[in-house]
Amino acid sequence: MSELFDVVLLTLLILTALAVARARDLAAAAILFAAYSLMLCLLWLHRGAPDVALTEAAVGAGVTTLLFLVVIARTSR
Amino acid sequence: MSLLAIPFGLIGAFFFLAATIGLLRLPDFYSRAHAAAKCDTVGAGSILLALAFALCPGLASFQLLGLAILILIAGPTASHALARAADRRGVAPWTTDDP
Amino acid sequence: MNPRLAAAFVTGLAVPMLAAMAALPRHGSPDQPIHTHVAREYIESGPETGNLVTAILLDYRGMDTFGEVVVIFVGLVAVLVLARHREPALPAASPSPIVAFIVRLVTPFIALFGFHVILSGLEVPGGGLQGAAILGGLVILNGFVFGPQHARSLLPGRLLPWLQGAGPLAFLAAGIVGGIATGFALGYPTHLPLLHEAMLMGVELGIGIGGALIFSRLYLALEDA
Repeated sequence: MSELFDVVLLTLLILTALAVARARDLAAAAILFAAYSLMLCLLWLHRGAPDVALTEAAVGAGVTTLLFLVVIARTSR
Repeated sequence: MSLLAIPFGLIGAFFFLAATIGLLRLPDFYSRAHAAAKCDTVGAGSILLALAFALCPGLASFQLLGLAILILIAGPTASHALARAADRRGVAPWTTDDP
Repeated sequence: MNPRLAAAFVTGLAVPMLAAMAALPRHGSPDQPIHTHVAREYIESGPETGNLVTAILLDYRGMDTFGEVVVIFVGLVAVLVLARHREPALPAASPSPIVAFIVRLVTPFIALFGFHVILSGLEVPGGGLQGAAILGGLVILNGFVFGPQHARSLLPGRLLPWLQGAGPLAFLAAGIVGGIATGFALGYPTHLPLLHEAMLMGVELGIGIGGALIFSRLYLALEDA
């Protein structure tokens, strides 16, 4: 059961990574990247690394996404 | 106490399912945002409540309750901000005249 | 730069690095040192209570972490210099009263949670960088809703240049205090538990506050550019 959860998370992780690469809209890519970070955060948590998971959630899904969105808003639109 | 987890979990699962179908099937931005808001607020809120009941005597259930309160105020605010931004950018709502 | 010289330089760097990579134990192989004895040694001789990850980062390999903190902070400051502002930031479009109210409501709670994450890193998962990201995200959130001018007013004015470097400075101070107390730079006085804990907390707070200010400045520099 536990390993099945890992497999599901890894599959979703790869799918979101592909979706980021394929997204045409930059804002959509930034949001998908946040989803990717959250998947990775869950995976770290499930593999027993809560410290890394917290970093991934705060830096990967939080600040990085916000900075991406600021840059996109200031450049392409 | 932990028996209360079952109805709340079912409510949460139902709202997640209905909101996901709504997100995929509804015609325009505003109605889809409305569906997503249900998913965020009621769905996630109910599931957090269910988990809080399941772990009832303990610190974790209070932490989950705090998270549920946060979701209760953050979810509707985010959907409101989204809908307002769309309205300001001139996204027209869907009407029955549209095909 | 001469392209041939550059190519020769890169090749000269790459060959020994690749050779070193080839000599490493295979990725995931069970006879890597970390699997045979290093991890067990850490767990067995680590602290009885508290967060083992923090203990290893700040204590066993404190020098490495010091180097990392210096590299990251210098890198971020370099980015800030490149992105220095050219024209004043635009005032925010009038925020929705609902969003403004909710953001005002949650701001103190998020700030409290950020400091909690910074300081509780000694006992439970958390720490300076994570708390810094939460506090920096809070400033950016306020900037999104109330405009960059308001976000700037949240940062300390005159102390800013010093607090931005708080991470490396706090580490340096802990190194000097540890040096006086134990005779080794960055040595932690395990016979004085209170001082030991205060040093770890000081380092975490320095990384947290300094990191939060750098994240915020990065956002403000982008808004102004």
